[in-house]
Amino acid sequence: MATIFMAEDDPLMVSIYSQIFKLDNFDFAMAADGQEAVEKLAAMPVKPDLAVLDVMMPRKDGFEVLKFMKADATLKNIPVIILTNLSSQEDLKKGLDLGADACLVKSQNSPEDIAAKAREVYGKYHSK
Amino acid sequence: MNSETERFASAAIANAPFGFLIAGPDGAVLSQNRKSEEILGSLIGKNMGSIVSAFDVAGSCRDCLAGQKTIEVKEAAWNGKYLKFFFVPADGSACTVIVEDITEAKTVEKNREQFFMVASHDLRTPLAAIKASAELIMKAYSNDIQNENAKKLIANIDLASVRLIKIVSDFLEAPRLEAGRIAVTKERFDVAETIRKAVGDLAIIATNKGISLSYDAPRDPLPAVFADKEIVEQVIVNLIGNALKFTFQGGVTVSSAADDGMMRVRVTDTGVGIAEQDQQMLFGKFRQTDENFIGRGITQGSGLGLYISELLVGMIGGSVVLEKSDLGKGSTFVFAIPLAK
Repeated sequence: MATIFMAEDDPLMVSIYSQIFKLDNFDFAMAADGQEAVEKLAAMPVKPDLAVLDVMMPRKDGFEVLKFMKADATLKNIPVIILTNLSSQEDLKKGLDLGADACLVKSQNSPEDIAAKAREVYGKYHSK
Repeated sequence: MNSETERFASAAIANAPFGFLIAGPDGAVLSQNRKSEEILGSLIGKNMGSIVSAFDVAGSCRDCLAGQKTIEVKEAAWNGKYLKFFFVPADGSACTVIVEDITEAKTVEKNREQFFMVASHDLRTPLAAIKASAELIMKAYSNDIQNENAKKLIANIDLASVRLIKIVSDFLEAPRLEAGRIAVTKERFDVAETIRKAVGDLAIIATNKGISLSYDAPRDPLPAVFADKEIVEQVIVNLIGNALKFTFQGGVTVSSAADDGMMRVRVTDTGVGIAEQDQQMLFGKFRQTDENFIGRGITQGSGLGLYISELLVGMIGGSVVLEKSDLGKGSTFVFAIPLAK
């Protein structure tokens, strides 16, 4: 079963996403902040098939986690979706420039929209 | 202009609340009024371009004179200030420079952006979670719920969350809201009905906390108000909601009375009260620039709801004030709504 890794500091949202992804037959792994995400991703013997990273997190933000992933040979090919609170073009561009496959503004996308994007991005990679 | 008119014009310019200078084609200042000296310092005999480095002053003077047209510099950051300039051709060899200090407006704008950023996150996230949870239950676990009433209640949660998200979205269109450009539909209605409905809707919160919530309605019918019904409902719900939130014994009483062309809705609680130093912040316009202060302080307390209430109330020509508050004893807020004529 494919695994989705999510870094998000709001336990409420983690609970929602875990339910949605489990209903889609994904395994779900998570980290509650950026530092924990980096440590867990590095330690996972089998790497996830997709990562969803919130930008605003304690200790390390989502962009730093993304940079870490792109600099690591075992993580750099994992597709990444960045979730931001800001709809500024600058923020969205930063995510894409750093190598994210998609950047979504949380306030403009429901959890179901974000899960649909995750399925789409995963599907693209899976069919490659 | 005769000499008397000229004298009046000179006096008006000297005392004008905006900066006024006359500059040559290269930006050399020939004359300036008091306000411009206050904003830019004394510039007579100096080249304005050598003092104000934020943009090409001489270029603006040249363009103004060559094209005989007004050049506007909407925003120039200089010396810790934000300034707005107009270069207006005076004659072939000099232009009038009008300068305005817009620092305060910029600060308000910046604070507003911060406020909406915090509000966007703090309000939308739990709302999205409520909506997604209700939808997940209906989509994936509907068959597990045998009781039809339970299904209806979950559908209600979904509907209410949709409504709330809509309301929040309206709020977050900050520029429209603060500029008064949201659609306000005023009508005549009986505010007693609105209060009864709000009290009825929120009674469950009071019951769960073991406190009272009542509407001390007058015996005689109230005169009609003229306002946007949704805004009035929202502000009343917010005031009662806040009162219930901070009351742990006793209760909340709502009353209404008309005087001086206004309907005054009073929400009185026997709650924790508000310390004097915090009372200043209640309706604050988020002038503090420290993001952490806004993020951790205001939105977790009552500041957000009251700030929004104040913005909304302003749109219907009403007011919302803290009438009194004693720490440990309770508070009274008064919401004034214009009466129908």
